[in-house]
Amino acid sequence: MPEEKIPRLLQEADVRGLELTAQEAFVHSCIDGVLNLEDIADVTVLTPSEVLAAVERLIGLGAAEWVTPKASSGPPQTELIEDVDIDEALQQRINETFRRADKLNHYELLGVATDADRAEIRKAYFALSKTFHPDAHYAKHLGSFQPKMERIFKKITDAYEALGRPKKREAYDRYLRQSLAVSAAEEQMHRMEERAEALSRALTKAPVMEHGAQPSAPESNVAGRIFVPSHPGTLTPGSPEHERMLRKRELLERRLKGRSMRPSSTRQPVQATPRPTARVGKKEALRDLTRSLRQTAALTGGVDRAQRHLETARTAEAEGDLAAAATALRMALALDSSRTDLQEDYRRINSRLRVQLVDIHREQAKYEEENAMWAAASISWAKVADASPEDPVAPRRAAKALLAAGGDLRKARDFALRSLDLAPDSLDTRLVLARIYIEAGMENSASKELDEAAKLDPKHEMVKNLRKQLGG
Amino acid sequence: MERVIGIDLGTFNSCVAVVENGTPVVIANRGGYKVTPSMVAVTEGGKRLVGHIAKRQAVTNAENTVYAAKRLIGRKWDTPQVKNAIQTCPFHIVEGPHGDCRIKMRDKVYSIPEVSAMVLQEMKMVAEDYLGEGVDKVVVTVPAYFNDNQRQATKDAGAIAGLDVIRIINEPTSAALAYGFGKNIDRTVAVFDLGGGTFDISILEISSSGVFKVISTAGDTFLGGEDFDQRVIDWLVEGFQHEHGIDLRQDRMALQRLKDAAEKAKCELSAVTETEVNLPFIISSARNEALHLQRLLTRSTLEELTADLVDRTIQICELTLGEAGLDKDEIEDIILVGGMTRMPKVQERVSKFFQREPCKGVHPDEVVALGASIQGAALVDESPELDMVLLDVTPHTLGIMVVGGYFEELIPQNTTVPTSRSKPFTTVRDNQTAVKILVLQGESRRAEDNELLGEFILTGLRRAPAGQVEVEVTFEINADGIVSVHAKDVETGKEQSITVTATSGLTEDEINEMMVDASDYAIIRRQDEAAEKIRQQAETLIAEIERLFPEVQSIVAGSDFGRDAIEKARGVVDNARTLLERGDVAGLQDELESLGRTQRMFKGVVGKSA
Repeated sequence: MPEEKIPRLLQEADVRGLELTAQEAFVHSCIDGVLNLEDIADVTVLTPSEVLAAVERLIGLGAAEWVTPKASSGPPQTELIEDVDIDEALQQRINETFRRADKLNHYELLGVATDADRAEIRKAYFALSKTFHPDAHYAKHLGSFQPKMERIFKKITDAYEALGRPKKREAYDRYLRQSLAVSAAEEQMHRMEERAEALSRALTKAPVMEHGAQPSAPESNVAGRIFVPSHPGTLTPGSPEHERMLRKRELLERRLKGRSMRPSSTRQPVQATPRPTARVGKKEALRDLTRSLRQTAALTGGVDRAQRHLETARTAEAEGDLAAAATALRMALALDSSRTDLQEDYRRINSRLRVQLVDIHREQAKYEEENAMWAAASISWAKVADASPEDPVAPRRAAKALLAAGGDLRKARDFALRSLDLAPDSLDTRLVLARIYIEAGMENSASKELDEAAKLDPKHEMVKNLRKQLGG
Repeated sequence: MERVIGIDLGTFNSCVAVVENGTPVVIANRGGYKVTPSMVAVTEGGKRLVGHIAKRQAVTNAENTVYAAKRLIGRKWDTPQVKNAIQTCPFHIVEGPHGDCRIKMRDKVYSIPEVSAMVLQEMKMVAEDYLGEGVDKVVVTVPAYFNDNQRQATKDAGAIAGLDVIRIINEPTSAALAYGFGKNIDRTVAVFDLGGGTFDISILEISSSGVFKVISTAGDTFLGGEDFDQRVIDWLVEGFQHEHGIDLRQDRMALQRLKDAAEKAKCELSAVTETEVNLPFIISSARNEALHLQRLLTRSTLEELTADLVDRTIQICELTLGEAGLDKDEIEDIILVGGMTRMPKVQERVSKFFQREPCKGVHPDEVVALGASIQGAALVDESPELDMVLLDVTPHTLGIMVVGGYFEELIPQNTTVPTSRSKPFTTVRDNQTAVKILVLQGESRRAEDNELLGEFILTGLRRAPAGQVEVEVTFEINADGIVSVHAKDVETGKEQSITVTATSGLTEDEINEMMVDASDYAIIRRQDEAAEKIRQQAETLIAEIERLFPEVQSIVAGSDFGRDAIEKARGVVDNARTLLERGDVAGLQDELESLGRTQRMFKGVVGKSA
């Protein structure tokens, strides 16, 4: 990739003293040291060549300059073959581990199972120590491998420290379990959409199947949003297929009415299917998946299946497994979309599930903040923010985390602005925004934010400090 | 393969060991003793004496016989510890040219590392006599609680003695190494090391794969056998004064005789329950009449006299366990090290505290040197039986001074080395072009209370308003325990670093001057993390309460009590909001409790109705 250049304003230049066209002034106002030419073109709706011309003129006038954005620190590009006193296999292992160390969780890093006991964890850590502690290669020439080994050693020690003591491990496990549970639940819901759609397609296409028949394989490329149920029957009204589908629905409805399908108020499970308890681990999620698939397979269009699903959903809900409950309800709905009670139930469960997931994300974010995992924290807060659009705190903290992680400043700004929309009188958010602008070199915007902040609390220490920083 | 010897350079006794054919052995000196007194003397004729021979003439040459130099190594002249030593030592301690302390024997002044070097040289010779070949590589042990200045001074002593100190290791760690060597065990152990001058406690994990990991360590560099002796001396002196009206402390020779007698009595009382201190002709009275000191000391009197000292060791044990996050019952064995652990009362208290009998298999005077020799061999020897790694920790917090004279921690104590940590700082003055980085070690919030390890100035920062220049400070400790510090101007990438070779060559005044000086160059921590944490806690609680609000309202609004509670909760949240907006962290902290209560109450209401 060719080196990308980004225009940046030079502070000393006073724009008012320059002879600029309106177009150039417009471009000038958009230069923030972050946007590249194409971004500016997008923002200004000018062509890239017009932007380029304007930028070059600004540079000619001494109002701007080109900068090369800081290269992201990836893996070291050169791993030259060094003349060192350790064998090639070990060199390779060091390089490999060094590259991967940041991406692995503590268990993966130590190479132990998540249910490993303390003795196993200790054993694994000690074995790794003997490989990566520089003392194991005392007085040997290690070259660039020495700092790498020290870094790896620090990482495995951090992992061991987090897992070696029951209390700390509990906190880490909770964190990890939640991460897995959340992704499992999200995955499950994603699949649920796919299956439900496949099912309703199957219902519209095929006549009622016999028990034991195979359902059509779910289509894989359905990009369903996780929380929003896309209702079955998205076919064009009036088409022959649509007609056929309507007829089938009618038929199903009639059969449905023939039975007493009032949802029972008791929570007695009819099906004695044991449900995983509260938190879904990856394994449980997988088991659920197979079970649901089997249930799907058994779905032969019989409407009593819908009832089966409904009961499964009730049991799951009673046990607190909202993801499973939502899945079951979604399946029931696919079979019988006309039942308002099912729709109501589904909506209710889904909103509870959303709250539960948000709670988990929030907890995750807090753990991540405590352990200075800023990049992860920004993602978690972003999820909380997306799921609770009325909450001003989450987007602010997402912005803060991005700032601390040295992440995307534009995203950070967007989050901060979102938070500000919800709570315009938040001094804290103004300060975050100001810091983002400062970081991005957008000093005018920063100083505007600080003016706003000062209106809220002129004596605030941070406002004063940041103002000083801006040299105002 | 080169031989590496291990030397336990003790406050009162030193010991040397070497690994031979895979087995560590202690080397006896020419007199057949396995330990050599860490004593140095200069005779009237200018002859230097070291070890037993120095000890034997100490009474007649008290002013020119130096012992316990270890208590002074790496220390500054103007410290209470040195002042105290001046009070109690019969030899002359004088101020050195760099604010350090030195010792005068006859008409020559010696630095402390020079004195320690004489002992190390003696130990080197003992080893060479035994091995029949020259030795120049050594692992030397120090108390775990030694700071870097003391460690560096010990290294300097080695260099003066013509030894290459390939590693300094901690005494309790060394003891654990000797204890676990070749045993093939997986165990968590505590090493209780009460020596002549210092007390250390370390908790380690030992693995059958040959890894020794220190979990935590603590101690007191001024708590040891000598303090026990001092209590006995004081008791004898006070008794004598009471009887004869004469203060024996004024007589250097009497003091030296008292010291020997007290130490001897104390040791005897480990085996018997009473002993007689008998010092005839200790001094002459005003009427030139010879006076004798004769007194019966019982074990229970000794225990009474020293009860608080033993208490203190137990307190430190408790602290260390807490630091390690371990319960007493998780300690699977206790290793007693140091001569003082022979005292029955010490053993009794330790057993009682850990609820376990200490291990009997190690020799408290020799185990440290054995461990040092094992570490030496493990480093240079690649044979499988010596395939072991020692994972030690940094005993003190490392950090730098920030504006206001505060100490900002970078690497906390008990962090396994090698390690590194970075933190961003910013400038505090407009157009500040230089930052002085003062590297400190210690646990106090105030910079000046901690040990200064070194300093350097990062210059050539770009001119900018205060707070705009970001300086990233990185601390690194490598496996050798060597600290290096880098400071980098984040914007320009300009970098400066030092390897901290700690020395004690600075006076308090110089340091104070430096501290004042440094405030001109000071930097601040970028964000106040504590305040941030409180803000975040409050935010989370508010969000949680807000979330539950509608539900709680619908549940309890029916009752007067419920409406009242809702109103109160609203008040709490609004108040917290205001504080949050104002950035009033102190107020917010006070409010956290009410927020927490409200949140719990809300949760309870919702939980019950569900």
